[in-house]
Amino acid sequence: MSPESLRNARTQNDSVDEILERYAAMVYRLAYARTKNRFDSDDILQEVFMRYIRSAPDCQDEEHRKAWLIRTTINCSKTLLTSAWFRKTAPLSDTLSFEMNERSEVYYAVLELPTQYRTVIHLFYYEDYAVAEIARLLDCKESTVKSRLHRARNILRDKLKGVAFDVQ
Amino acid sequence: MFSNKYKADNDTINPDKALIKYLSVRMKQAQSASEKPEPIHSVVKIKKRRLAHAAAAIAACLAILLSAGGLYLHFNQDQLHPAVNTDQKKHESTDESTEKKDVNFATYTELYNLIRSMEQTADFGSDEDFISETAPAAMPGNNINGNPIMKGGGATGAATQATQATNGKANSRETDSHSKTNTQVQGVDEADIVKTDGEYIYTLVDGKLKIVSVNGSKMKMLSSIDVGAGSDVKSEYKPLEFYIKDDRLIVLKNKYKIDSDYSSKPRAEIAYDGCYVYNRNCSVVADVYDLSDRDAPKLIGSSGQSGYYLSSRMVGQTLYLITNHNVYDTAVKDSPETYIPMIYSKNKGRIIPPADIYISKEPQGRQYIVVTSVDIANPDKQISSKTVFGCGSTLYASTENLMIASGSNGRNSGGTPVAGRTVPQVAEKTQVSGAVTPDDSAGGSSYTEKNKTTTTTYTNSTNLLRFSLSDGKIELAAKGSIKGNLLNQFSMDEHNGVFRFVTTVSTHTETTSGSGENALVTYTPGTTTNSLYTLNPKLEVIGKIENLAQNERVYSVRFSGDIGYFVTFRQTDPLFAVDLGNPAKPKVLSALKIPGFSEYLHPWSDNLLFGLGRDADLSGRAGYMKISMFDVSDPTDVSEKNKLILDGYYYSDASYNHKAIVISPERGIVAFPCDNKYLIVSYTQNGFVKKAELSVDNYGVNQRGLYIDDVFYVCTNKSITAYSMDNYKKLATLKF
Repeated sequence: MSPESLRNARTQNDSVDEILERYAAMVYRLAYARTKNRFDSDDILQEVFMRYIRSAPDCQDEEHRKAWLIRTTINCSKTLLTSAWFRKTAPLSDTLSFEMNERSEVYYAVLELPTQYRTVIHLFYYEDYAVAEIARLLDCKESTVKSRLHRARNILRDKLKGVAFDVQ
Repeated sequence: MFSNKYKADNDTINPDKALIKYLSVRMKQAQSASEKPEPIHSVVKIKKRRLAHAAAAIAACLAILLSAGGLYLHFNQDQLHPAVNTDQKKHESTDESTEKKDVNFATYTELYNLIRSMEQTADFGSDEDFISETAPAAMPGNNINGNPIMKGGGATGAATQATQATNGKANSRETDSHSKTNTQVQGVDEADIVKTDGEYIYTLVDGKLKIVSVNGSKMKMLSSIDVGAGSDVKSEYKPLEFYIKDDRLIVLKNKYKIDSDYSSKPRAEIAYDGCYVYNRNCSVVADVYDLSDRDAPKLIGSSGQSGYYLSSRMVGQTLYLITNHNVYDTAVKDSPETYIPMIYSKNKGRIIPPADIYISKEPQGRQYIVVTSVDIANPDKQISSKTVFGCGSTLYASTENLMIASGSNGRNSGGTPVAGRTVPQVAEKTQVSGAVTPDDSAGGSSYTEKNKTTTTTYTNSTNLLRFSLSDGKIELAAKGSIKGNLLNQFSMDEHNGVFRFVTTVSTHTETTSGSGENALVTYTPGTTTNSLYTLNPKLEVIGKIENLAQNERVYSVRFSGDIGYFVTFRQTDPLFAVDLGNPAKPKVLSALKIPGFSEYLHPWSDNLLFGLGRDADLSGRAGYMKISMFDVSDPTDVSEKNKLILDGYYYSDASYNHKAIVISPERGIVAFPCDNKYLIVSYTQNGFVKKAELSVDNYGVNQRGLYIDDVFYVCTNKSITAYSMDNYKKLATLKF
């Protein structure tokens, strides 16, 4: 077996629990960065993974799977909010614990950015994607990602003067 | 440093463990449900213009209100007119092709224009472009509604017990030889995946309806009907749930047309359209079987209607079937069947005649609610059919009324701007700084208005439609609206001609800076409070209590005669008891604060209220499952009389689906699935005692428990296991 087919076999056979273990937090954090509230993030988390199961994307490797999940998370956070049906069936969980935690002004400054800026900031600084990869994920031009990053950094720099000045 | 801090902060954000567990159960269930792998679709590039309408549903709806308002507003508060004059020619033809010729297009045209106008106005203001995924969300067989665990919207109540409470009478069930599906309202049956009539157990497993005769521990499978089969080979069928009424079996199933074109369609057209859309070629079929010979059940008739399954109810011999039907960009003016829902009998379809179509004042998407009734003695024909152009999501039915609610969270279509203001200002914080590159897709051509900031606050709301039901005759009787969103069907109730609702009201603020394609929208959550409303049959608010429990939301609701109970939660669980004796002046009697919260409430007796939920620590972090018995003998002083914390258990289907729980005050037991076990707990004056933790063979999904005489049966999709109710020792297992 070639290394690639081995890898394929592995990704195909991963159990639901392994996939959740690996990606639930990633999806949740991105959803939270976009929706800024835990109820919607709970909904999106469920929708993304249910979609994953239903549509069984043909993921060639982990990177592909991760990208699929990120794209789906972004789509869901855009559209889920229109779904009264979903809200009704999804148990809104009681994830209060982290809301009690203090987070730094950095996080709050990011949350104050417009949505599309938050998204690129999150993918760039948290998921460590390069500009070109973000452009592929968001299906837009690299220059768009660059300019969004640039503007977002300007805003953040302004807000975080003396706190986290190395936004680069 | 920025990067490190941002990462560290993000690492503190984690989904709730119980949610993950629940999700895992649902995913496994979905996985096992779809035996054949779903087709894989390649990435579809979507044109920007096409997509804008989905993201900009709000723009669409506002535009309807402003620009098309006068034209389409056929709804008055007091008087409801059909979309067209009723004296117009009715179309009774049963054949599609003749229908096309016979139809008076003038009337359907109106709907067509409305549908088209919703597309056109949706061409601006999208927040971001849509990104395609590698597979559409809506594939045949993928419908979550087909997932029996969540069917019908995830909540209902207890038939007999509920009415005991409603009537304020003590337990007076004629017979308690066997358990029944836990329904919300007495006399109104709800479909499920397992049912019993005391002699037989009926269970829907992998598309087969199995009939098992039971005689104590002796179980024998009499027949296994392939209810998922269908006459139309170009369609795929997915049985959802069923009813048993005497010698009749009524199976409800989704039917998906296999669309060879499917994979080439941009997904946005398929999957997103204001309201949530599952399938573009979906209808629901009700098959009725004669069970007089249970060894060989016979299909005696079937009828159907466009749309995907929302819910159903059965009152006496009459089945009420409710679907949501979506209209797509494929609407062709001269072919009404492309944008008007159809009803089917004997596989012949006919378009719903204009006289039976209503247009909602604020359609929230290109969607219809279709309501039909069928007499199960004559199942090939609908008694009545009505459709409303509008959305529906939560459903309550009494024996005389059907209430369909559709929530809007305000930030989308249907929201009510309560305090809109436009502030021309140099908005430094939200203003885009830095040079704009010419090829920036976020940067449109109009930069002149960039400094203008608009702030609008929205409050969520729920639109209500009341249909009157009378022996199968359905009439649209009233329309109304209340603030806030409903939790589930238990959030609605009817008592002595008064309709009662509990909602969670939340606001949010949208700040738009810039304009056109360059607009940036910032969303800020506002306050959350809870409200109770009483409405008259015209759906006018006659009494209310507002601003309860700030920053909490409703976790469960139960109305019980003149008293309404509901639970909100943040750190502790205030259980509110509200006096509704005078509907015009509802009054909070008490608010009991205890740790944790209840997700399902059920009147146990006149003096006791049962609650199923979760424990929580002082910070509000949810812990193990917990069951409580509240003493409500004095509604002004409700107390938690007994409680049992289920150590090690985090999740039960029963928290989200009332049909998964067995509650029998007569037998003194509560039984429900819990993680990968099935629990039976007894209740006496002395409190709860865990009687049995039964192992089950299917990871805790789709389990139902029931009892017949002195035997308790646990039904899964693999087997039925019988236990003695004396000691809960296993008596026998029937494997499928």
